[in-house]
Order: sequence, then C-alpha cells, then structure tokens
Amino acid sequence: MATSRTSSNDAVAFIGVGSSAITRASDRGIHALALDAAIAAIADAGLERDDIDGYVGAPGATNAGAVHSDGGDEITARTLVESLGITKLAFSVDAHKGFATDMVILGAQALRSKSCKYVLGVRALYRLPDIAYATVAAENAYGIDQFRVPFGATAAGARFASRAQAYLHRSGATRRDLYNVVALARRHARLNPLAIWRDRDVSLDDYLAAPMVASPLGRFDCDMPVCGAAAFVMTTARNMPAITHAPAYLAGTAGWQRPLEIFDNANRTRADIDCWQIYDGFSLMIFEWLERLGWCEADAGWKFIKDGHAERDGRLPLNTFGGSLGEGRMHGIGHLREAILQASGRAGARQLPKASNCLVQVGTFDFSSLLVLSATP
Amino acid sequence: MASDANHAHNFGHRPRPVATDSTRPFWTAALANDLSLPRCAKCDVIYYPPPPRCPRCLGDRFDWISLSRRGRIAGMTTVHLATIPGVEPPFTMVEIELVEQKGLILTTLLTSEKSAQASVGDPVILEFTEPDPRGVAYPQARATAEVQP
Ligand SMILES: [Zn+2]
Repeated sequence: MATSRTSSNDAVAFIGVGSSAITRASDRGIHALALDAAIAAIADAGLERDDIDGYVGAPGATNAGAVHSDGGDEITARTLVESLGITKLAFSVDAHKGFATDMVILGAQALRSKSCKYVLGVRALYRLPDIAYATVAAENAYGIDQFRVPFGATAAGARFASRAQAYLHRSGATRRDLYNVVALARRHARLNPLAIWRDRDVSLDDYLAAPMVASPLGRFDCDMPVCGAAAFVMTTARNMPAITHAPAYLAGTAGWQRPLEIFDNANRTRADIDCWQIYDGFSLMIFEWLERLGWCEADAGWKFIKDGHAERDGRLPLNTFGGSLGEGRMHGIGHLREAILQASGRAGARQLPKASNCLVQVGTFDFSSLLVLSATP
Repeated sequence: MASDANHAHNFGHRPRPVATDSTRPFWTAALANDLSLPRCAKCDVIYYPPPPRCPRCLGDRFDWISLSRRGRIAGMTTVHLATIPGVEPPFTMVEIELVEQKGLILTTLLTSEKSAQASVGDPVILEFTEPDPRGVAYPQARATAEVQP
C-alpha cells in the first residue's frame, strides 16, 4: 500500500465523518443513532445518499450479556442500508466481529478494486435496558466457550485483568500507573464535546476508592458502556467530491501478527508518527501496544505515560479525544474518527500543531489491526 | 464494562460445556479427577483447550495423556461482578501454566480459602469438582506449598 505501488488516483481518502450523541443510556434506539451518524457523515462528505454505493459495518455487540438483536444492540448492513433509502449499492459487507480499522481495510479494498466509489462505514454500540451487561446469558457453553465461559474468562474483561495482574507483577508498575492512563484519558476528554467523561476529572483517591471490577482493574480502568454511533465516508482521489475541508488519506495498514510492518506499509518511519489513537477498552492495553510497537522496552510502557510523553505536548500525544476510557465504549470507531479529524486538520480545540501522520490501532493483544492516516497521500 | 453486579441472572447454574469428539475425552476424564489432554502424536506438543487438529502439523492424531495437575499461576484476577451464572462473586480466575510444558495454560477458578493471598508465580494443583446435577466436573485450582518438578 506504499505510495510507490499506488497511483495517486487510487489514494484512499476519508472525506466525511459523523457522530450521534453518546450517552450512557438512550431512549433513542441503536437504529436511530446509527442513522444520525450516517446522515451526518454523508453530509460532511458533500454527498447525497444516492451517491453511496458501498457499505462496511462491524455490527457485533461484544459484551457477555449481548442479545445480538438487529436494531436492538446491533445494526446490520441490511437494516441500515434499507432505512437510509440507499438503492444503488454495489458492495456491502458486515465484518461480524471486526473492528473499525478492519472496516477501513475492507472499504479500501472495495474502492481499489473499483467495486464502488463511495463507501459508507457505520459502527454503533448500545447498552440495552433490562439485561445484565456483563453476565453470560447462556445455559450451555459450546465450542471454544466450553473452556472459557464456565470460568468467567469472557466477561468483565477478566482475561485482560489477568494479563494486567501478571504485568504489574513482573514490571514493578502499580495501580497508580494504571491511574495515570485513566487520568490522561480524562484530561484529553475535556476537549471532546462527545465524551461522557468530559469535565469529569478523577483524582487518585477517587480512582483507588472506586469499586473493583476484575482486579487490578477497577471501574475507571474499564471503558463505560454507552449508546452511540459514528460513521465515515471513504473514496479515492480520482472520485474526490467538491468538499470544503481537507480529506485525510489512508497511508497504510497492518495486522496484529506483524504489527511493525505498519511503518513500511505506510511508507513512514516511527519518527514520522505525530500522534496515535490506541485502543483502550482497559487501561493496561496502552502499555502493551506502546511496547509492542517499539516506543518502549518490554514492561516499560507505564514509564512512558508516567513521564508525560503521551500528553498533548509530549513526544507522542495519545488518544487526543480521551480514548474509550474518556469518551465511552465506542469500540474503536472513536479512535478512527479522531485520527481522521486530526490528520485532516479538523479536530477543532483538540487539533494538535502537528498531526500529519496518525497511527490508529484497534483491538486486543491477540486480534487487532492498525492504520496510518495522513494529511497527504 | 458495566457494573450490573446485582442484576438477576437468567439461569442459576454454571453454563454446561457441550462436548464434541475433540473435547469429550477431557470432560470424561474429569469425572475421575483426571486431567487428560491431547498430545500430538507427531509433534509431542500438548494442547489446551483440545484442538480439532494440531496447529503445528495440522495432524489429527492425538494421544490423550494424564497430567500431574500441577502448575503455577501465570495470571489471575478477582472478579467482583456476577458474570457467571451459578458462581457467586467475588471469585478468582487464574491462568495456570502446567508443569508439563512451557506455555501450556489452563484458565480456571481458584478455590482455596487463601485465594485472596495468592499471587502470580504461586504453585497450584488442579482438581475437579464433584459432578454437578448435570453430570459435569469442572477443573479448579488450589494453592499448594510447592510444585513437584
Ligand atoms: Zn503436530
């Protein structure tokens, strides 16, 4: 995907973004929220809905108590496309358990293969009333779950909490270092009007006094489930509409098994990266990816945060919209939205002085994908 | 994650493992307090959970072997939400690295009375519960004084 292998007309660009409101509970259903975000993104791209001929989604609800109901806690391509009144689709796919970054990779492939010209991507999350969000609602455990669900491994972030305990044990970091991640997220969320924790700083005392969820992760180490949706529109340079704002370009992509290839694939070096949006469903994840992508030695990611390198004026500003820990549990579409806005110079009060190359990683240590978004192709 | 700790469950008992031919020997041996896992007949690598094929050679010939049930805590967490029907929080989930093979990890619950004091690196022994009314014996871990090599 390096520019040397791609003619400039094939450069993939993000031309629109949109978001619904994000709230902890919502009487407006997931379907309405997804439409809010989609309509806003299409308008931001300067397009009409009839221009949209491609769609990518990642509808999966990821909590243990999910009921996986279309229009309940998930929204599928079929339902959303029909209710948007779109009739000229040439390509549409739901990446069942994919991430926002995977949606981008799929959309880019569809554009490059000329399956379509304008791809709409939508990701929506919803916290249903009258269910136990984190409780496995199944009488039987099938498949791989027979070795996980009866032991609690799939709920409340237990498998990540177990990794976090091992990390603290071997690295010398403590819960105060996890707090540093949470406090950073809250500081950055101050500048994000959508964030549920906007203007809600948390003191160390408050953090330590909050209920434990799965030790060593307390309530504030876990992103808060929310109701909300965000959307984007992609095209290629060849089909660029007359938009009044700058686009952001997709410089490159990588998968989690070979994450360091993100730099070569994007035709960028590590030193070119100005900021990054790293998935933070649980606070510890930040340390893991700082280390894995080579910004820190193994087991030293906590020092990077403690020393202030991830602040807005630091070496590598991190999750400048507050991350999931500050904005709410948007499952990575918030990270993508922020990278698009930063790289296109449209992040408003959050705009970094230098954000030409933004790295986005969404997913877990064992299933994830990465992007670099850039101001230039 | 939400903190709906006190929300009513749909079911009052632990989710019941539904075996296939790849996993049934594990659950059958469990009824005799025997930790039996598949070892690839070609690679000599032991797997948990039992896979349909060896991920290394893609062969499907396994020897089911009895293990010592001993290991060390590689990771652990005490969960304070009611995430598993039939298991009262708080409970401690542990990832046990079994002595027979580096990286052979089994995720289970720690049941010893001193589980709150347990820490990463501590030795444990795996045991199986008495079969529940639906005939399932679940593995669980108990802290021990020392690991036998
Ligand atoms: Zn083999």
